[in-house]
Amino acid sequence: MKTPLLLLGAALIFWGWQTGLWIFAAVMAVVLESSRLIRLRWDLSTVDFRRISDLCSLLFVILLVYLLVSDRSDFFLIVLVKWLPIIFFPLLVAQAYATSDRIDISALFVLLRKKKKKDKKQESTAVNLTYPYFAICILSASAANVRDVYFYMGLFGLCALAFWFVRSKRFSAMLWLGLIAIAGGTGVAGHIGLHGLQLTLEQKGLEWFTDFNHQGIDPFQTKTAIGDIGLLKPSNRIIFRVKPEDLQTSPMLLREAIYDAYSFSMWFISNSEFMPVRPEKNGTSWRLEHGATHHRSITVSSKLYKGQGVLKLPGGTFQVDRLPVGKMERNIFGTVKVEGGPGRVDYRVHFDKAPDIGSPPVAMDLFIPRKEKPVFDKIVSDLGLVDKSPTQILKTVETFFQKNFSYSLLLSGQGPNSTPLSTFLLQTRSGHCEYFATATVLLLRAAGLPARYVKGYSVHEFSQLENRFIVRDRHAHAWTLVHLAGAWYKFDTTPAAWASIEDAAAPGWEFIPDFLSYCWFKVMEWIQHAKKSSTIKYLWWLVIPFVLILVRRFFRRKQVLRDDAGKPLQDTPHPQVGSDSEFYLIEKALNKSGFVRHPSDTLQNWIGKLRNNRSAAFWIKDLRSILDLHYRYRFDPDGIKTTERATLKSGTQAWLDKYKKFLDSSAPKP
Amino acid sequence: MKRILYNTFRRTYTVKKWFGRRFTASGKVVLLCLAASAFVGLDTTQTMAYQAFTFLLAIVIIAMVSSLFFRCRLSAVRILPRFGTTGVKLAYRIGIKNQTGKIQKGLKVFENFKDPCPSFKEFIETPEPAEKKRNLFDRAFGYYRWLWLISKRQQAVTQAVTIPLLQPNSEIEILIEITPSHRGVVNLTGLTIARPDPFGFFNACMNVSLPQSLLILPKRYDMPPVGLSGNRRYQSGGVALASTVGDSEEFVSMRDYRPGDPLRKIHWKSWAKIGKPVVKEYQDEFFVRHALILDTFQKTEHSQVLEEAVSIAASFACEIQTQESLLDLMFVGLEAYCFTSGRGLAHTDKMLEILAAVVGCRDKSFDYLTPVVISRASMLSGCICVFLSWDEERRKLIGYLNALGIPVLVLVITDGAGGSDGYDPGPMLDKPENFHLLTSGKIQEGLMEL
Repeated sequence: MKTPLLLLGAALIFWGWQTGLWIFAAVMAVVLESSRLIRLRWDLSTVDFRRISDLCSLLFVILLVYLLVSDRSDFFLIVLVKWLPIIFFPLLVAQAYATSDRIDISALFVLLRKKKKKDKKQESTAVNLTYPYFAICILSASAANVRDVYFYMGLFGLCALAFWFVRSKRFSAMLWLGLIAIAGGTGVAGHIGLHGLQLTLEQKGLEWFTDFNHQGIDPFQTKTAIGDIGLLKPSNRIIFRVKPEDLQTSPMLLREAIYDAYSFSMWFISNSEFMPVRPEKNGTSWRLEHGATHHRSITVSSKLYKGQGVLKLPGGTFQVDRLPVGKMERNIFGTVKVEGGPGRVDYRVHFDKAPDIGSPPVAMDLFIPRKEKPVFDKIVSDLGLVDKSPTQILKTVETFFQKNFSYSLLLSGQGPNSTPLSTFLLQTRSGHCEYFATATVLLLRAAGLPARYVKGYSVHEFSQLENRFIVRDRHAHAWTLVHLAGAWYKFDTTPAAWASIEDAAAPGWEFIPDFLSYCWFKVMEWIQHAKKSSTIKYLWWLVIPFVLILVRRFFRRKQVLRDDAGKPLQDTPHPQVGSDSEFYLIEKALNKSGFVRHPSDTLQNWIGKLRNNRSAAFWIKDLRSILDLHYRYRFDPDGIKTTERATLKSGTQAWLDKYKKFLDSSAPKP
Repeated sequence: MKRILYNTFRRTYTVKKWFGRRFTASGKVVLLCLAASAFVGLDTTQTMAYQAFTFLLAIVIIAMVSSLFFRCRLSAVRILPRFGTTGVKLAYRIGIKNQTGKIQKGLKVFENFKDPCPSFKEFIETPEPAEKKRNLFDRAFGYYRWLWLISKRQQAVTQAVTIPLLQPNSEIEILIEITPSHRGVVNLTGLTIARPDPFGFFNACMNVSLPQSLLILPKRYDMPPVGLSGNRRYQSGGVALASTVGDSEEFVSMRDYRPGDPLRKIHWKSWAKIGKPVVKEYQDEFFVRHALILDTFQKTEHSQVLEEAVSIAASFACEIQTQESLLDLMFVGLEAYCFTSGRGLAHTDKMLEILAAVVGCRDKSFDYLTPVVISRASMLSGCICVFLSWDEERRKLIGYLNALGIPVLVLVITDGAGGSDGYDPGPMLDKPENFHLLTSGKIQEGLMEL
């Protein structure tokens, strides 16, 4: 069904208005609507439509690749949608100016083409593309995202006009108008509600969402699972990848955030000030401390949610390279957050193995919440930590946890009159890393040593496939920093078996998502590389040959006809396949001898009859194989092979020679 | 796993059927746009497509709700022909009566077939023809098999027909066309009357129960004239009810004299008695009698090769001039059958009806048919054998018929997978013109070479 007069033009103008592509829209609208006035028509076959469809597909792919490479945002698909009316315009022009107002659907899709090629008897389905194109125009206009009421008004007006022509004639126009008005009103209420719902969900679910994605850890505070009840179920999803320069690098801990204040199962920072870090001249290197002579480097491949996040850094980090972000800030604890970066980063971290000097301890580094103090005082007293040196304290605390505690993902909550930490320390003596890290920090503080809580990841799973370390969600870890002799030292009391316990719970089919994740990682890496590389510009030259081939295919024949000329097409004689078969020479020879074939007899019947003729039977018996070949040459859609064609020729010649000799010998001599 | 797939296909078929009936062509385009706008407008802050989505959703909901208000009293009568033929479009009339006092317009009618979904057992056991050519995934998944079984069991396809304007309390006749796709009985359960909503996107449906069945005859090929040599054979005791009379000594009846009747056949006593010439008629005991042997022995319940064999047999049954000869159709179904037609004994359509109902024989071997043929061999002038394979048992039968001097035309149907290798003519070596291999899918070409 064809769209009514000016509807398609109006849709194109609407699209141009919304997207700002006025000039294109006006020209396209004029070209399409002029087809109703101009009587010039192309005589386009399905093959021609197929070529035009290929041209549109090529344009689509070119634009997709271009946007993929050039557009830094993740919304390149939306930009692509905006250009769809231009991409599919050739197809619409072809349909508008073709002798037929419909296109065989198999011309549009490669799969259908293949299907039709396989099953030639399959009936063709012809479609008119005007209404689908109308829908594309509306959809593309929406991609311009001009947030005013005119979009909905235009959408409503155009759709109402289009729907008017397909309405059921059973009902009155008034009823239809009433219902479309209701639909319009419901649409307004619906889209306001839908937009509001999304905003609310985004707002309410932000915490959950950021937790899920592990991209937006809050450097100001973190909630632990201390005191919860149930079973911790960390996922096996790969969060980021780490490639050390030296593959022999032993497993390490990467920090995300450091906290110093604990209260009600949550860790905070007492000083929320973040100071900016200036980039080096190249704009991608960031110096955090003075460099060390002997240092090591790793490359971290990670995602930044909406271009921002907290960097995962090892202790002693003094410089970060290859990090194309707009802004970097760092707090006194060493937590580094960035903004204005791409969705994915591969940054190189240089770090020193020496203890982290960091900011000197403050009063908060010795603070113990009032409710927790009695328990920790009791343990300090039981362990006799008061009179010991710092080194002895650390040794005693480590032994205390290793001997008396076990690792478990089972969350046991808290006792009726005790805090979760005291339940952990005095009753259950079993928990996950957050329990161990928090208890250790507070115990060290009770013993007089400044300590801080660190949240990050343990890097220990090396992937042979990727030739780098992969870090999963379940590798998230918490540990302690303790201040000794002017520096901060890492101190981890979680039983060493924690990683193997969590790894053991991984499913057997883990390698499948791992492999898919790796493939996606490589694709994104390639795209990232392509974006940076200047050689990508030269790749566009490869498109030119494709375009040339397509143009050549399209313009190989000129097929313009005037439908008002009224002249019938000249019947051009088509040579019949097989009409040059040598078998006709045999027929001619036999006719000459008096064995005439009646026009209604097929060659098969004629030869069959001659077989019963005594004088001809001797010669006919040799003809069977030649006749078979002739039939195949004449009627087989697949034709015959070159060798068979040669056999037909030689066989006929041999027969004719033999027959001629016979005729010569039997002719009466003068 | 197969059970899950079967249930999924079954549910998908039901949904697809519902979707096809309920949504008009425009409605389907609107649904497509709805899906596209949902995809593009997923993030309401990035595009305005969500506004198109809610508007279209409102349209669809209103259209669906309006279908709940369809009240209409219509009755229908279907006037079906006796037969249809596979692959040939068949038109018949349906009378629809408006029993309300309102004008009815914009209605459409759909034919309802009996539920064509196969049972789980059938789905598991019946492979699609040429399933071996499909890739591993398609074979394991079985979706093409499912589609083929649905088509086979439904046996015909039809399109919705628009009912012209129906005046209050009036009746109208419409013409419906169905295209039979497989032989057998098509069960029609009733009609569905559909009324579109004011937007023209969604149909409200009303079912009218009208159970009827229609026999679909096998597909037939164009046949070249088949000239089987062979003489008239003595039919012991004659053939009862055969239309023409002959020259045996078995008296049948008296009839009025017709110019040209030999004088020796005049019954003088009767002439004297009734006053006009009367002649005596004797039963004919010499007929040309051909056998058409249809091989139905195969391992699967259905195969394309058997379908082709039945079509060839049907083509022969129509082609052989049965005014002047008899034709015995022999095959084995649940038991061995032999049907005789020709010379007024039974008409060709009767033979086609029988062939429409032929099913493959899985529980017996070819040996079961051999005695049936042998017992009639003495009466046969010629024999046409349509075989599904060319093994030792079949060769043995042909050898026996050859030994009796009965001219035989052997057609072996192959699926074309193994080529023509392994088809040694055997007993037909000396008569290669009467031995033909026909490939499924290229039967017509093969038959034209007979």
